[in-house]
This record gives sequence, structure tokens and C-alpha cells, in this order.
Amino acid sequence: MDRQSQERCVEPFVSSVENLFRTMLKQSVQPQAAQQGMPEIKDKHVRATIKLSGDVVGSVTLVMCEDAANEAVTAFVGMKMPFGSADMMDAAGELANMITGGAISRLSGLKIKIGCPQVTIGPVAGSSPFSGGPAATLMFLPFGMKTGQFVVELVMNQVGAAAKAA
Amino acid sequence: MDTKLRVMLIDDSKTMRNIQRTMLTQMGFETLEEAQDGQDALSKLGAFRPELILCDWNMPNLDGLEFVKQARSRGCTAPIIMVTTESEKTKVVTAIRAGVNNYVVKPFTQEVLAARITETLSKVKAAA
Repeated sequence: MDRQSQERCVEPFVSSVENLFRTMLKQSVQPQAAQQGMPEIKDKHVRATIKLSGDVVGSVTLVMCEDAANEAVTAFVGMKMPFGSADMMDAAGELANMITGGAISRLSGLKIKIGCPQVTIGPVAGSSPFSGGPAATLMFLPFGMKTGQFVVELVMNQVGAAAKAA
Repeated sequence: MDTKLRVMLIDDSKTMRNIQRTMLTQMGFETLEEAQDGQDALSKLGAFRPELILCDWNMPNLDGLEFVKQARSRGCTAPIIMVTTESEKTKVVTAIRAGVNNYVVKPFTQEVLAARITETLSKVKAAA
């Protein structure tokens, strides 16, 4: 995916995150500049990954440090959940699912199928389990919350006719 | 809105089932059944006999679209509202052709869900 196509993806994902937080978490988030490298997350974190297939192959991963995950999940579900619990991981997966679905509906002209969330807890941020192939590009969209930061990691490779048309 | 109706919630996310359960309870619905995917829902159709179904699309085992097709082929006439992130026009058309009555795009508020339920039940009543 070329630089121009990458940049076209940023706004739909930022809008989708803002809409999700405004609608279901009743909170605002502060989008920061997109980066080519993963912002440092030393804290324990949760990673919720959605696999993409169709015109775009790759993944969307929501990476939240412990404080941000606790804040977001509490606002989403309406109650505190222990960090790393099955319920908390399910909620993180659903947040990633809604961010991805919302963004894809804003990416016009592309037919993209989204997979079910895969959620892991880790001591430090690792890489996405879905590479998207050697031509895939990585982008990191950081967002600020009251208690911490979270990142939406995009691994995207436009394939077939969609790549030729881009 | 008739809140005496039996409502089935189908979503692989326990979080989403809990959120929808809370919203429906606040609207006044009392008789709710949950299913974690299409297969689970099909197995509960006969015993629960839902009068309204809220169904996710993207689920493991049996997805929402397949559930709708199979439920309709088994004679289920309950109104079905898809509650999903899938909002592409062609997918909406596919879902409606399969037997879906209405659509709620995630994320959504309780007000939006209530409005879609009212609209769906009114249309079904008018068509009866």
C-alpha cells in the first residue's frame, strides 16, 4: 500500500475511534499524529486483533496499556473488571471490532471482510500475529485518554484489482 | 412498544450481550434469552420461541446471516434486527433478502436501539 493510500486510511480510523468513544463510552479521546513506529508501551497491556481479508489483507490491533484498558472497559461496560480477566478481554475485543467495522464502512470502494477478535495480554507490546504479507505497511495511531494512552496498529496490504485501482 | 415480548440476543461477545440486556431491561423487556452464536441460537429457538431477535453478524461457528437463513427455513417468523458493524450497502441488502427486518449499526445508543425496535415492531404489525 503506497503512502497516499495509507494516509487515506488514517481519517476513517480516527473518526471511528472518536465515534465509538462518544457513542458508547460517553468519553472523548485525543487523537495524536500517526506514526510509522510503535509508541513505547512498557506497561502491561491488552492487544485485541481483527484480521482483514478481501481487497485489503492485514489486521487492525487495539493496544491498550493497563490504565487505559481499565478506563475504557469500565466506561464501555459500566463496571470495573479485573485486568486480564476473560470478561475484560471480551470487552477489548468488541472495542477493536467496532473500531474496525466503523473505519471500514468509511473506506469507500473497498470490499473488506473482518474476522473475529483475537485478544492477548502481554507484559510489553509485541507485533501483530497477522503480517499482511511482505508488501504490507504498518501505521500506528496513538490516542490519549485521562489515564493513559492506547494505540490502533494498522497492518494493511491492498491486493488484486483494488491495489491496481489505488 | 410491547415489552412483554420474548427477546433473543445473539452475539459471540458476552460484553455486547450484557450491554444489550441492560438496555432492553431499561426499556422494560423482561423475558430475555441469550445465545453465543447462530448454532446456539438455532438450538434454543424451539424452546424459547422468540418474538423478537437481535442478532450479530460476524460470529464463529454459524454467523448471523446463516442463522437468519436457517431460522427462516425452519419457520421462524419473529422480526430479526441485525446489530452489527457491517454497514456496507450490499451487505444490508443481502441481509434483508435473507429475512432480516431491520438494522442497527454498532456503536449505538439505547435511544437508537429503542427506535429501531419500535419501528420494526410497527412495520411487522402493519403488515400482519
